[in-house]
Amino acid sequence: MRRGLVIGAAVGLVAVATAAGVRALDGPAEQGRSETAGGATSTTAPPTEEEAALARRAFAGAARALEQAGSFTYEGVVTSSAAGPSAPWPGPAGEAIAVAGQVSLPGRSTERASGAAGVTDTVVSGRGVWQRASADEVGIESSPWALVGQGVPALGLAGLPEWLSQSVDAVPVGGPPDGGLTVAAVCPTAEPARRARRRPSVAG
Amino acid sequence: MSDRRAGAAGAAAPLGGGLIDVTVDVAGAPRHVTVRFPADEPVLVMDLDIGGFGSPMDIAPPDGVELGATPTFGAEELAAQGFAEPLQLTELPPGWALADAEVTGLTMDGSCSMLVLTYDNVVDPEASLGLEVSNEGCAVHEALQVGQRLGGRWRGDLMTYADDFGGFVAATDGTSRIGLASTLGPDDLVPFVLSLGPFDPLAQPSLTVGDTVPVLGAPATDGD
Repeated sequence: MRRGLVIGAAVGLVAVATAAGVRALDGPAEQGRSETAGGATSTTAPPTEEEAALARRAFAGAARALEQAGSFTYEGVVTSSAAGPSAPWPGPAGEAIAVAGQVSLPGRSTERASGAAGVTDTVVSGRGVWQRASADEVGIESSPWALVGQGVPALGLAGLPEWLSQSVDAVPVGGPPDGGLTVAAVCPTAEPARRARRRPSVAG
Repeated sequence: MSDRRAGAAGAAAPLGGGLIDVTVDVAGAPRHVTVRFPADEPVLVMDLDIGGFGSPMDIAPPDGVELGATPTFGAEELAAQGFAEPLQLTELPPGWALADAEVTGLTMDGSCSMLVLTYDNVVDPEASLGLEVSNEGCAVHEALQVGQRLGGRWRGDLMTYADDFGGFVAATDGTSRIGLASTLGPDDLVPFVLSLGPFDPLAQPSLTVGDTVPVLGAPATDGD
């Protein structure tokens, strides 16, 4: 049975998930949805053409804003509902992993992911991915870095502008209390992510 | 440490399509992003605040050495390497996605090459699917019996690994010889063989090519 390192943390997670979104879902993203992020109100009615156009502009504008800024930060949680050894994070299924990172476009990012099983730092720079891990925040600073992947195109949230600009079936779903707009869409195909791990022999 | 990272690694696995919510401020800048994969029954949910737009950042490799860009390849490059019929899986069940691609030499003089495509599964990081494609006549799987009709233009043989790793299929259509290995059973692999179609670089961008294994820590075990 193969074992090996895999590009972990949200930086890899987000990229691959987007990469694998090779099949668009049927219908507008928001039809029938009842919950949204950021405290936005929900809607179940199909969007009008005007609403859909507004949502598409919001996605395009968000992508453009990131590209023009050239850099941004992110912070939040990533949760996996997968159980057992299939869970994409250290720790029990359903545990929220805290992530915080920085992105410098194009293609550079750093991230720290902290969960019950430890802390992992990830750096993506150009075509390389490095990681270090420790049981806690104290030990991580002295942990050695390891190159866990190379030939990896723009992993992590460095791909966010592309995801936003390539999303389809965009619809508005509400707005935060302080103004603005919340929109939803289907993630498209992006780069296949590379995972550092042993490849099984097919030579028999 | 490696076990911990490996445990987090499944994070890298994809599913076929997700939903993304983004909240933009009055200026149009994204302030909050939520991503769910897959859309119907999310296995992974990312809920992130976005900020720090335009902040100066100095992100560099820990050792200070940038890695060179890996060249990409497409059908033309594969033809130039002598591939008569570069192939790929054209259909994948939910959870599977192309994770890596490379070309390796089968002979010291470079007269034969093999296209190696690796697919991953997000639901089970231990699951694997590897496809090797080479020309009939110079394939590493040449010695294997391929007399059983699999369907379509393919004839081959189905095998089960003795260590319960999974199954293996060797097959030929008279032009190409393929090997397909997986943690799946051999019978489960037949539909994959039948889905083989022309290699399409547009559907699989940024594939790597080269004699070296493109990912450190992942030595090839092809036995070639």
